[in-house]
Amino acid sequence: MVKKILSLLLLTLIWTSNANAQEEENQALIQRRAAEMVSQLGDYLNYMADKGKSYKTRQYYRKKALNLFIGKGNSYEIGGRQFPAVSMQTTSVNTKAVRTTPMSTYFNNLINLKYGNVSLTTTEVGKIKVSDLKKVDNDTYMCTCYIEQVFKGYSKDGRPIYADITRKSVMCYITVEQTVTGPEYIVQLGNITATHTERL
Amino acid sequence: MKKYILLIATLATMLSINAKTIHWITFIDTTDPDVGKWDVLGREQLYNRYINLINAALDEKGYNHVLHDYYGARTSPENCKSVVENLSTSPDDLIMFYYIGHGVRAYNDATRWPQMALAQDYDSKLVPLSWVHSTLKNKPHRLLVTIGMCCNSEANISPKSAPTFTANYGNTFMSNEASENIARLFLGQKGDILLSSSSPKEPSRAIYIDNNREKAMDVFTHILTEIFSKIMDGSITPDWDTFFKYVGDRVNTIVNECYHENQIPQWESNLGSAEVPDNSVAQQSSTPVPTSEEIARQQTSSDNESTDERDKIINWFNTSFNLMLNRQLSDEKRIDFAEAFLSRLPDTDIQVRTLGQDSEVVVGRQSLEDFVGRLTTSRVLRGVSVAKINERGIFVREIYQQ
Repeated sequence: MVKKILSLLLLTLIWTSNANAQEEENQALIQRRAAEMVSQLGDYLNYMADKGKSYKTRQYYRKKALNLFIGKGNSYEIGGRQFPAVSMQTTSVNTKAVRTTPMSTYFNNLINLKYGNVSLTTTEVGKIKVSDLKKVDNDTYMCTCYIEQVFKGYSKDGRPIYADITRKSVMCYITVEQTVTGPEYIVQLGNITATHTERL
Repeated sequence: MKKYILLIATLATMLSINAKTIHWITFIDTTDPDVGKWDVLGREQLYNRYINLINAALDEKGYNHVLHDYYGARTSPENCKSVVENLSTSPDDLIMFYYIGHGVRAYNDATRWPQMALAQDYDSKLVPLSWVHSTLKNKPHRLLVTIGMCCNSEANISPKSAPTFTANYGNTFMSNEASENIARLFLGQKGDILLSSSSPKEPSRAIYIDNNREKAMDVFTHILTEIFSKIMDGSITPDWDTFFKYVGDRVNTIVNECYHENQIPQWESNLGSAEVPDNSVAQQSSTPVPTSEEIARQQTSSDNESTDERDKIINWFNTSFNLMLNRQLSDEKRIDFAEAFLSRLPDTDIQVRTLGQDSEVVVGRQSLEDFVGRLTTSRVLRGVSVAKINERGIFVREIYQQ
């Protein structure tokens, strides 16, 4: 009888340990995916800001960039609750004001900036730090990616006018869908907040 | 529709005139009752940690890649002979043959190379690894690498645990340096090289990964991919003799530790140096285009089935996706190509699921239209490889720029 109880305990321990290991592995995969998507967003921002690229193509990239976000730039729902379209926070060392703009509008503003040219670069994918996952609803988790963005604005003759570096937090939503072959994790980007800006 | 056909034809003409291809012929015995399960993992690691990365790097040098991916019921001596004899190549092509499965040698065999069982037990049907190599060597090629991962004796022993031996799966990112090192390895030398994973009278061993008895694979393939990652990061010189020396030493060390026996990979190389070509765009039109019916049929088939049709469809999707990623084309041409590609397909709502690296876990899902839109506008994705296509859609793995 004691042997049976001990065997049962051992089996439970092994099963629990395997389940935990699988969860940890899945979390690592999801975090990596979140970093990849943020890196894609960073590249889209760089492209949209680049006056050397055609206006029409930059607008095309704007539409594709919105696909990275939950709701694709429109309002969205989590756990029966409605949320407005995802937004981008921007800051400036000149004004100290923090502006929050719906993502689609932010992208348009970026494309139409009045500088002669703009360079906008983001933390490289391998260096993006990602927080642990946190459950926000029955089938929804959240994590945060931490990046730094370097913004440089130039006049038409190439003279640097403005430059800053901003630390940003990118929220990422992970929707879990149960399928016949196991859970699928759909990672989408959410709101982006600016935490700190300094002049370069 | 006519506008798109003209566009595809024009694009194909504007691209590099001489099609260059890396042909992958892999035969992996995934059904054997003893070793099949280990070889499933071997196949995954071979494709995820070696083949896909090489294809992504050589795509920038203008190389198409064509997979002849034989596993499951399709692993057979007849198929091996057929694909090896009928392979059609050009002088700039690379030919890569890789076998994972049982192997034996005859007692009176004067050569040092094993014979491959290819998922069957009849002596009369064994295929000598050296025959594969000599047949492929007679075809035009820039580089031929023939690798047989199999026993070179008749012993079959179960895997051992190695508590200090852990998997090193790396990550999904590839730097420009890694890409250049891969190009130096595959394009910086011409000729041929034949390797077997063990010397005469030695078996080729398996090992548990991470002390997990559900996860075992052959030592050789695991070490090959581990050392390959060191080639990519520049810590090992990218040439074949150096590469195989490191692989051989490490394989033998591990097998000594676990089995107290030797497993010494052996190889024969006939290589000369070559100039690594500049970056160029692969010619897309050399890849056979599947019909809508073939694509629809694949979507309803079991994804465990290895078939010629599956290879054809996967090769076409791989070539198309990677052309959309190619930054040597202008942004506008990439967009035009994507639109032409989508117009060929009856259903652009097909779901594309992104798999995590070394995992069957889905970490992303979007319609084919959105997926293609992402590929076409990406400058951070280096490569995409299709892992499988079934009724649930297209499953891919992505490699990112580091």
